[in-house]
Amino acid sequence: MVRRADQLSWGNPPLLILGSLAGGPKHGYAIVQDVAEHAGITMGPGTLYGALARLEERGLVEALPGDERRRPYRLTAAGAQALSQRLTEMSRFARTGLARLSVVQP
Amino acid sequence: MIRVLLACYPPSFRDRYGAELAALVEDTGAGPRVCWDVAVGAAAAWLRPAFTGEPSERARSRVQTGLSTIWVSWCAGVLAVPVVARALLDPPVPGVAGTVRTLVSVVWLVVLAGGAVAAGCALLLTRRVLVPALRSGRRRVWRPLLPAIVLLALELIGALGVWLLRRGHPAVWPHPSTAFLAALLVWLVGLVALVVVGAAGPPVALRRARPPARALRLPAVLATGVTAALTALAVVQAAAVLLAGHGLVACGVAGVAVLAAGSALLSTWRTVPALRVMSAH
Repeated sequence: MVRRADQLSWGNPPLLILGSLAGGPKHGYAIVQDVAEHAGITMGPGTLYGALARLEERGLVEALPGDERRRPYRLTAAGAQALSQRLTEMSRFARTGLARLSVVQP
Repeated sequence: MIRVLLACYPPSFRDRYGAELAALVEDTGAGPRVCWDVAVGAAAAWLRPAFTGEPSERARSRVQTGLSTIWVSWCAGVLAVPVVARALLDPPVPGVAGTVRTLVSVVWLVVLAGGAVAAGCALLLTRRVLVPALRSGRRRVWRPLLPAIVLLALELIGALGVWLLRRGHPAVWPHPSTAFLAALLVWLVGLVALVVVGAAGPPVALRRARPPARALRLPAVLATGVTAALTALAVVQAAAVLLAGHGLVACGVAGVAVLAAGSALLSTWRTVPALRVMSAH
């Protein structure tokens, strides 16, 4: 479950996780805290590990050796590429939206 | 509460992420929202399991899960058949058409055909997975099957007793005693329990055995036949219930068979690509 106050939510858990891991390897709790801090979205444990499992299955993130209960994850090259592609698209969308708004509401 | 919810995740998920998930729940606290989130996550993990590791291992796990899902779905679908048949034909619903009787007979034939394929699949898995496990002394693999074997023996003895009673005392049969009815009820409950433990045992045994990919390939191919039979069974049975236009029980139970067929179809759909990966390796 992803909680966010506003109705125009943009974040989906896999993207948020990839975005968080772009800053370096993190374990589950660190990812939750990082996403809450930078995106204002609180991810529940079930949501986080459901998305992490899917990302690991697709080879976009990988687990690093560590404590079984606090295993850190990091982006793979494929994950970095997928994140970069999606952020570029989002950035283009944001630029276009802002440009249109500036015309309507100068 | 949260421990129960964490235990509701599929075994493969628990093996891989269970400790981390439990640690995160400890860190975040187990409030109502977290409980709900974990419950939804567990349901999602069952509906769409994730497999990690090397591609060959992912394919093997996928096929193993597919076999387990199809088996459980088959058992659920087969359990529905006598209930629907009894609801429609015993005693016959007033005005029930001959078509409905024919459809119910077709369902039984499909059960026989699907059962034969499922038995072939089970024999192959016994020969390739269970017998080697027994030879190598891994009794842990066989243990989940024991309740079903014991219940099967008891149910057969019970059925034999009823048959002998009916044959030996035909006059008593139309007016059975309360004790006899109670014994019959126990036998029926045992039959349902047999289907339940019979459905759950083989998947657990398969998981414990962790068979190699080559042992799973042919059974998985055969299991697509079981899925086809289950789908045919569910469709024909649903048609019979709709034509008869009878009762909540028949509709509900036929609905269970349709759900079981849907589950088997979905699992087969996801397993076929894994079979291709297996062939490539």
